[in-house]
Amino acid sequence: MKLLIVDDEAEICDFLKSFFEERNYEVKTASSGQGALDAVEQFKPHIVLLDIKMPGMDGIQVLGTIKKKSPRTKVIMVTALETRDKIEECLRLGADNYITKPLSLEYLENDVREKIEALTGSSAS
Amino acid sequence: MINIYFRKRKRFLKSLILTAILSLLVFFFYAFFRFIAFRLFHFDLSSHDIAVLLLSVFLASIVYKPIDHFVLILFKDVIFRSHIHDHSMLTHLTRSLVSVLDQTELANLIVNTFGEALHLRMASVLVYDKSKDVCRILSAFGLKPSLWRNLELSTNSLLIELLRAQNMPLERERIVHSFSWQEANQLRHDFEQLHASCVIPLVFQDELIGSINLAPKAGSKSFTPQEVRSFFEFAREAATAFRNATLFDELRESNQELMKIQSGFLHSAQHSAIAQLATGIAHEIHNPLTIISGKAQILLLKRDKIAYDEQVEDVLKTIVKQTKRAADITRKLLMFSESHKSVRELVDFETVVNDTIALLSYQVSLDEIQVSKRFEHPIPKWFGNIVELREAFLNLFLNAVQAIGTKGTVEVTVCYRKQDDAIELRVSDSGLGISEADLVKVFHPFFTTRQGASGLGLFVTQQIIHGYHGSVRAESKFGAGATFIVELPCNTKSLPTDLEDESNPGVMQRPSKEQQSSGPDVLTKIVIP
Repeated sequence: MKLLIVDDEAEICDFLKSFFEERNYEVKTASSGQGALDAVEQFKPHIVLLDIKMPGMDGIQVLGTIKKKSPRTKVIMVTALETRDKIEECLRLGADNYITKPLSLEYLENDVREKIEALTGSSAS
Repeated sequence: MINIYFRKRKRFLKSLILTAILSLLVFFFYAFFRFIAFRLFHFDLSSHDIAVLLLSVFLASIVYKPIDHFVLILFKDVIFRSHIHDHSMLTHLTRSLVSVLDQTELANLIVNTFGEALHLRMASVLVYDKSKDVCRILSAFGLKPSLWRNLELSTNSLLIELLRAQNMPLERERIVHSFSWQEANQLRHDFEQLHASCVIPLVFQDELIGSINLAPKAGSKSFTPQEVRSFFEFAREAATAFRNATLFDELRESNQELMKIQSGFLHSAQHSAIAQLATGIAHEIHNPLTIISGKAQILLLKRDKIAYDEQVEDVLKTIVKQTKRAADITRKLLMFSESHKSVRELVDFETVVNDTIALLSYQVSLDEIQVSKRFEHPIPKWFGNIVELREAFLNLFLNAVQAIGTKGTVEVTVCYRKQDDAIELRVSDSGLGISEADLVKVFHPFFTTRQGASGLGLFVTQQIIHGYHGSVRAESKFGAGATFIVELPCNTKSLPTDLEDESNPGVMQRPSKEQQSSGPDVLTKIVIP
């Protein structure tokens, strides 16, 4: 299962990468909006963990583009910002979940697993 | 204003004249009957004196009515020309106009004096309304309100144009003759609309600002030239008073507007500053917290493979727990910044008051200040934003503590008033109190009597309370402490729908209990519709 982690904070990408790799996910990271879009095209991840606040193109724009180009890709917003407007905007653009920092790894892992199961379940049927 | 003695004498004279006329009439009829009877029928009526007298009285009383009318005119116009007296009355009125600074009040004063003291049938004041570009009646005497309330005269009506061009009093009877029948008709129509026979312009520095419209006293058709002249003189003075009132109105309006803008600006400036700060902090702090907490969680998840010292495991758990706590603080800050549109929930007043007072405990413990609380149960839960409520109360409590200085008591009482479905909170302090002059100003922005204070606390409180359609007021006797009273309506009737709106924001829900117990948790879980 392929997972893309997008965050401008390298340390966050790193520990999430090692966390998911230990759980047998194929993980790639990106540190900018443009990098994320490129990675989605080449790497074709099943799930994207996407930060909102990034220099340049922000997570919300990236979310819109991903959902337009490959609607099957699940996107989980991972962010420090939790204003109602932002949450609503992400949901409107088709985000599959909205998780705030600091993260509960247990919850995140469960959520990712659920999304994967939903994907494989639907492709099997 | 009216000389009573003068009036009494006048009335006496009037009745004297009327009695004389009536007696004369009776005598005339009596003599007439006697004369006719004797001359034509050679019959002496002296034996039927009483009957003839009664008949004469009867006839005299019938004839009297139409004669009475002319007598009155005679009396008023010829015997008692009252314009000298009118003139002194108008001078007096002019003097009292100067002190009036409200247009409607001015108009009322003018029409009532003209109407009552000069016994006019009708008196009204027309003013030019700049914002709508029409002339409208401001006040009228002798007309039903329904007749003049919505009466408007276009600025290009002939009457107004004439007033503007001539700057002279216009009398219907005189003016209409000097126009073609078409224009005369139009003018007559304008006069009829105003129910007036004489229109006096109000002109200030060549600018027509309105007119005084008059109909003469009952029984006369028009005014004498002297009367019109004195009215016009009066109108010149009145115009200045009207101009002043208009300027005063404009000044007051722009002042109010300024205050409104100022308070709105303050509110938004305050909010946007906090919002910016909170967003920045949330981002800058939550990222490092994520890393700290994340790495600790990774280590904790590995505890099955690597056997940790019990102490190490404890430390890791503490790290995770405390990072969550730190994140909660910034999250609350963020919530406050958007509290003007943010979550409303059922709030327990006792908890809010206790929490808020706890914030002051440090300051209070330094000084000798006793804080006592009293809750008159039952107090229903209140639907609103807890952060806003806390902020509103904190400012009130801080104000009380600061008013006391170093030694005294603060008393907080909360009760529910069933009759108006509102929760009342009272904060009393044993401080110096507020002087009467300051009492009206305590909620003004930037008003403060303490050095170094911003003067915004009570203002913010007021803004928040007003946001919930509540009220806040101060009561005080200088030297005997002050009490601030907040009333917040409960609106229990509108509650269910409101709650539904809040708890069902489309697709977002709070995490379930299991999720909450599983450590530093995400706050939101999304349900895909």
